[in-house]
Amino acid sequence: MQNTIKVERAKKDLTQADLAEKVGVSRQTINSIEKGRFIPSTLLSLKIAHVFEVNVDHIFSLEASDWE
Amino acid sequence: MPAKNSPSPIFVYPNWMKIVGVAMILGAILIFIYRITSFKIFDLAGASFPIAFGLILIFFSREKDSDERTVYLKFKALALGVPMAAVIVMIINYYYNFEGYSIETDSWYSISAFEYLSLALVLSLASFHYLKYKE
Repeated sequence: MQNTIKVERAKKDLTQADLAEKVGVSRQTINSIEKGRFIPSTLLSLKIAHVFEVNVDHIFSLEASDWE
Repeated sequence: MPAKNSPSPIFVYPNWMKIVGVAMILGAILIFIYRITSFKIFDLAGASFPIAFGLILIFFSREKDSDERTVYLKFKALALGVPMAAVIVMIINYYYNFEGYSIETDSWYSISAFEYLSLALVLSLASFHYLKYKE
């Protein structure tokens, strides 16, 4: 699964720590999600999308390898 | 508005229970050493109960920065630690404790359950901190 969190953060001028505080997780968790090492829950995905004022599927999208 | 931290309800013990866990382990080690030096009693199985309980409190208490990634890493750490401990126990039993099958107790000789639990939790804790650092 790929995501556009880094791009959206840059648009909103938010650091990882700022986003982490807004969604109630640690900065390391945001870093892991950005790098694709950790897949967030639906609740956390919705919170992240809410902060960026977009739909979840604008932030997260499936890759071909996710179907294998 | 910043969202409230979302610690998982899976880890029911508060963070300060880790201090209780550490105190139990230190107490068990002190009593273990005292019994060796004063009475020449080497009771590893007896010491392993408070140590295992202390490790349970340390591992299953919430972290200060608890969130869903912490829960995921703790599960992953358990998935590594428990089978690793089982293999180590089999090796220990084979080399140091191997007396085969006991007809009297109708069981195979092995180290105690609390010794196994302590080993599994130490390995899981080490795995957790390694994964937290690495990921």
